[in-house]
Amino acid sequence: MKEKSENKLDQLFRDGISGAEDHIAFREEDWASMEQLLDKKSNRKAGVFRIVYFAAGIAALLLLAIGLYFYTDNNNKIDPTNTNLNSKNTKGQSAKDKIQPVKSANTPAAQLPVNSDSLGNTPAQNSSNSAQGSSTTSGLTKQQYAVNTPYSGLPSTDQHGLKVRASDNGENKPADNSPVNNNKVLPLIAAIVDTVGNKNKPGVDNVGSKVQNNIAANTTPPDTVTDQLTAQEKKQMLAVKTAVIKNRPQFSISVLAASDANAVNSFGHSQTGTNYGVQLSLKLTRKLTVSTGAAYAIKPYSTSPGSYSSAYPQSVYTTNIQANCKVLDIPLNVSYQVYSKGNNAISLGSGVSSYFMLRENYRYDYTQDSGLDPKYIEIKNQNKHLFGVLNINANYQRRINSRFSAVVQPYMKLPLTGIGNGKVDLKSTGVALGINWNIGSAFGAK
Amino acid sequence: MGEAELQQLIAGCLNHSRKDQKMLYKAFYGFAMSICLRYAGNRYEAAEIMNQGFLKVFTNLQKYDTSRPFIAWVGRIMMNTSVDYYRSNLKLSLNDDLDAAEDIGHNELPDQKLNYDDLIAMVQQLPNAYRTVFNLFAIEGFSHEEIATKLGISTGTSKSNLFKAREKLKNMVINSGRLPDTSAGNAQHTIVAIGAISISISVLIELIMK
Repeated sequence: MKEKSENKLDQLFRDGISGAEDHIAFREEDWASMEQLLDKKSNRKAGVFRIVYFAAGIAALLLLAIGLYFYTDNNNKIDPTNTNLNSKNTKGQSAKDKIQPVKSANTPAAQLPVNSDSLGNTPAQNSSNSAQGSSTTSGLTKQQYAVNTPYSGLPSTDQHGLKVRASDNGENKPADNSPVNNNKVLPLIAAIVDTVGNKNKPGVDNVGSKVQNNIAANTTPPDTVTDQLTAQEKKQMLAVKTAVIKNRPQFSISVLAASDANAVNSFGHSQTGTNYGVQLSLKLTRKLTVSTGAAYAIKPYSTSPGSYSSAYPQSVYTTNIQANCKVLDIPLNVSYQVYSKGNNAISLGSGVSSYFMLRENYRYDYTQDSGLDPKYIEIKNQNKHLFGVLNINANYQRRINSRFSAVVQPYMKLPLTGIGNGKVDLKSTGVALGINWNIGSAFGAK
Repeated sequence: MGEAELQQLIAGCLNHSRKDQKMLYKAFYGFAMSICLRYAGNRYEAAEIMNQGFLKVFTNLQKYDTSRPFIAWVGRIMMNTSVDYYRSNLKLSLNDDLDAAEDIGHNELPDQKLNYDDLIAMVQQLPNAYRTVFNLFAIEGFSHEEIATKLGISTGTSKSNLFKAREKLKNMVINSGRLPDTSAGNAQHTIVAIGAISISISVLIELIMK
């Protein structure tokens, strides 16, 4: 009975609804919006080309950055070394001769843990460890780093000074090595601790001499080495040392807040948004920095229906769409330092951002004669645009002290794809202000 | 429209002649709109869907198999676009009405004649999920299995949505004989709308103040 009645219902609607073509009059405004769609379609091809251009631009920037990286890397390595070697040859020939055999004798890997131990631990631990003759393996990577640095010009660098000494320790450690000399080890470690401790302090001059003294103390005729090292050599050693330290990747964290203008297509009708973010930077060389992070951005904007390509609930009567989007912005940028003098540094950067649309609110306004009320829509976590936005920024940093600097960062974000539900061409430009905290080297320069 | 005339229009559209596109659009407007109207919630949505459908027609015209009737091809595109539209906007639709399963005592439908406008208005009042299933099952004649695949839902959901759609429609048909007593409902809607607008505005103001 019920089944029959339901079928009757279906039939009622099927018959009543079908064949309704004649009931429906043609509306010119529907064709108008159809034409808009058709026009947009032909523009889409141009959009594809635009993406290709942007991609090519990014690739070129990355290539340039990598090229500069290698170029500056080579310069840093070669120049100081050469001068150092030259000076060595003229002045410190005998010193070099004395040191080198010691070093080569000490290269076996078994000796590394001992050295790393003395580098990584506190002074007290060091002395006690070495006094007991124990060998731990902590901080091996640090040691490996030191070992892996180019050989040239090395006897004078701090690291190599350490290496020489440490390997002396190493010789003392293994049981099969004949003279285990604790008297010799103890002062030696103390000296290492000294040099390590001094490394980050301003009075670095001491380091050189201490290194030399240590080397001298442990290589066989000590006096010949120390005497022949001149003040000039020490300076050059320092230059090498600082170059090496600067080449170490350094981490820093920035906390940034920004106010920016958001607009679709052009900045004619822009609205102000806010951004809060953290940024982690890795300084690869003195000039090249890679950074990533996360920012929470509020992006309000308004657009005409022509720029907004999602249908619902848009119609030919839509006059304006007001949007407010909460976005999680994950950038990946490369920047290159173009200016650095005193406390001021300026760098230029570029990269891509991924947008995760956390919340999108839209309000659709319709023409008055349509009699439609504004319609509100909220969309949560529906749209994400991986590497969908091109970043261009300039970065001005002013050092406050050795750890902190103030950052001013004008930036521009240009979409490579349509952003959000309406696939709009949402551009942002603004200035970020913040504080940068220099954490230091990843390889324990401390 | 004659077959030769249609072929000429199609050829013109393939050459991106805007004039021929408009002619074709106009020729199939009523047919396409009649399909979209029953899938959409209102006339504006229907026009949107139809234009998306026509965009597919124009951009895929070279794929049209001339041995088959053109109108059937257009109809299938309109239906698929409607279904796609419903699917992509699922997040925006009312998914359920708990009172939908309420049982009414009158199984018999009144004999009164209902015209097209009344019927389409009733269909459009259904929530998206019910309306789509009802259209696909009752009007197009798909099975629940086919509907489930099309919409990415289970056959159980399809059956339940159809049941609820029928219940609601039956209710509407029966009530259509009575005097419309919608003033209370309208007032409710107005209150809800005012509430929503004021909340949204206060949120907007808060954001602006921030």
